[in-house]
Amino acid sequence: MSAVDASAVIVAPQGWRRLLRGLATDPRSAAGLALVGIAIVAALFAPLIAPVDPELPDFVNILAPPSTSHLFGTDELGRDVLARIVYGARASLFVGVLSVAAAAVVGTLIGLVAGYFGRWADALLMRLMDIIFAFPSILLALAITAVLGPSLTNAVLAIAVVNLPVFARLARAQTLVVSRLEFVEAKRALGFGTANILLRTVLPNIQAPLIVQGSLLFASAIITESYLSFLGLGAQPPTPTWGNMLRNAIGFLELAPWLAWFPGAAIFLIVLGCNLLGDGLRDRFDPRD
Amino acid sequence: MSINLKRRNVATLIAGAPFIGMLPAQALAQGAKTLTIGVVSDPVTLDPALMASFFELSVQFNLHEPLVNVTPELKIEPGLASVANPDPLTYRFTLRPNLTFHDGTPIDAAAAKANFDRMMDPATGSPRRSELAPVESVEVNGPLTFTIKLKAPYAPLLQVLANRAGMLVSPAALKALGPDFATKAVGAGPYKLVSWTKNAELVLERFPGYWRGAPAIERVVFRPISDETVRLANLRSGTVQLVDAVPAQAVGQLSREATITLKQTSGLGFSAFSFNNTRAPFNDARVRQAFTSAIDKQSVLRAVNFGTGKVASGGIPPSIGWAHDPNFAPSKTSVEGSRKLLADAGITTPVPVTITVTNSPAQVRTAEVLQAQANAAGFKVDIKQIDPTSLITVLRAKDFDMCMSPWSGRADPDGNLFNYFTKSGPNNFMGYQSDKVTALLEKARAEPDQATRAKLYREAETQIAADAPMLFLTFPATLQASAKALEWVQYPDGAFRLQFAKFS
Repeated sequence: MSAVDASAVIVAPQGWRRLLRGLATDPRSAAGLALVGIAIVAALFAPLIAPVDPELPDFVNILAPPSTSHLFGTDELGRDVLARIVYGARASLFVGVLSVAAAAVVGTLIGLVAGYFGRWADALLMRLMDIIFAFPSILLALAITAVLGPSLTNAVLAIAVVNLPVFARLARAQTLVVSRLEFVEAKRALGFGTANILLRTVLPNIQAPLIVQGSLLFASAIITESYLSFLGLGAQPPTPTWGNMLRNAIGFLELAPWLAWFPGAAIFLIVLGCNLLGDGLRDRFDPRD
Repeated sequence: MSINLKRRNVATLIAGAPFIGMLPAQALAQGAKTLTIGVVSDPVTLDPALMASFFELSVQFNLHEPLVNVTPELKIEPGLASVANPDPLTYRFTLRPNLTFHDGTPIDAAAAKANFDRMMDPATGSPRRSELAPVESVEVNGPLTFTIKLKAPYAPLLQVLANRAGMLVSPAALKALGPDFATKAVGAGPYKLVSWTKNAELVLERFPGYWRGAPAIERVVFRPISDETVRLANLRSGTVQLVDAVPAQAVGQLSREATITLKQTSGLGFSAFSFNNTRAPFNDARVRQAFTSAIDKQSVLRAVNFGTGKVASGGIPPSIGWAHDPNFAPSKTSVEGSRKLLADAGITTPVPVTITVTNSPAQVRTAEVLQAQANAAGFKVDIKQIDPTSLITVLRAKDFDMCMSPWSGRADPDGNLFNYFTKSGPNNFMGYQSDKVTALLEKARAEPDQATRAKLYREAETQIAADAPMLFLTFPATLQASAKALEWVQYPDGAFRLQFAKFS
């Protein structure tokens, strides 16, 4: 996960439409956009896309290989794998979007405050972030879900906490530069309140690298959710997530290897898509462009 | 010059060949001194008086030796002692002479009595107390002889003494170690404890003073590997040479592998789920019956056991032939029947239920099958996963709606029913209070005639099925596998007795 250069990127964010057009023209970021787009569509319209109920078992037809009636085969309880992959996108995107959004919002606020006010606020907040940052992210996510109990929401919380420092540091670094600029000083002199300055002036000018970071962390959030589910700490059965589908597949690698191919491919493709998209966004925001 | 060198090289090779040939054999011999076993989980305690969980089974018969032994055909034969049974209330034991515990202290009648006194003392809190409830007294008659006198005839006594209740431990060590005895047990088995690093390995080494003589294998290492796939992978790679609890879906593949021996036998135990009879919703028998009638046990057998084992409607497996009734089918699967029962009970549907299981894939899969079928009948089931060592705590605290209650099984039906279904039975996690069943089970254990006992057990099972305090699912087969080079004996209860094992 490449961090964006800490030097200020003072570019007014391009219009969204121009951004999308730009992304679509470059083949790699177009691929990224397509992959992420497919996942989003699958997640939003799962009931319409999935052929059957993903939780409907069929004890006569367990471990069936891919066929015309079950395009991706059935799992160890006879449930349709394609339907579970489609619905699994919900868990992955739910966790990815929510955890990154939560980390971004809270982390950015922390970074804004620390960078703007400096001195003891900066010291206190950044030391807090350092404490979180000091833990290996895997261990911290595991510990939080183990303590709070296994569920999708707790997985979101855990991943959000683990990713807070990244946004906080990034936002702080950007804020330090931007808040020293003249137009910010001018607003202060004009008597605008701190909240107004931070949210209306500083934030729009630092959001570009935060968005890029967000898209990259989205990929890592999906991977984290996968291994939390794999360890039994994410969504509980029978809710399908790509991670817990992989976990169930391990015991059947000889009898039914397709049970592992499909969720594994799904995770791989969405992470690839997020990384391509993130790279593309970073290229679009690069002032040297 | 070059020809001479070549000749020298060839000569060296020829001279060295025997040594090279010996190396692999020597490595094998070194390896053959240690048997590493992949088991599901660490034991909770090594003190037979306090053992109450599934996970001690793999270790217990290697560290400890009971007074009498059960053969794979479920016959009783002498262990530390031989036994005479002059009348139904008297059992006279004669210990083998010149035996010592692992710490060198003698195995004599006084030690035996000390063991029994401890197990039957309420202060010890031993689960063996209820297994020994009919014992009136233990009298020492001589240095190696003692007599157990019963209050009433007790048919399962020898079966009980062939298990944890008959495993003698060193009283001197008990006194010296106090509560540490649980992790440093000193017994009389074929192996003595070297070290126990929890969740890593439990190391035993052979005890030359064992009554059958020192076992063939010098060292035994138990490695807890909770993931069944990883356990199998370790067996295939040779890291372990024996594994417990082979997953049922691997049976087909394993039986075709040349380097692995798969052993399968009818088990003695059952796979079941306890209902919590002490609180809603399962304090109402109709709700329990509704859940039971929603379950098609053949689906469980198919999806979880992959056709191994048998469907269970009660606690007595087919392997206890004289007491098992193959025609016992107390209930039919019926979703409409379930819904009607729930309506009769006046409970609002869907009824929320949490099923607690350990995180073993087979148990989770079982819970998912139950969930799918119960949800179709008016329940709303959630699955809660806990780690294996917490299971016994959850069961005892009755902190569950439904919880897995597997039982490894005993050679006598009393061993499968009494502790579960009598009012004060130590395994009565369900909170089941039935005077009728308690009376029937107490009568059955005191009845000397086998045919009468069978009838009493049938009556008890019929009542239990009507009350449905527990959901019986299957009688699982015992599935274990080893490296081809290991010769060993499989027992129906799935416990390892490594005094009979050797590397060929």
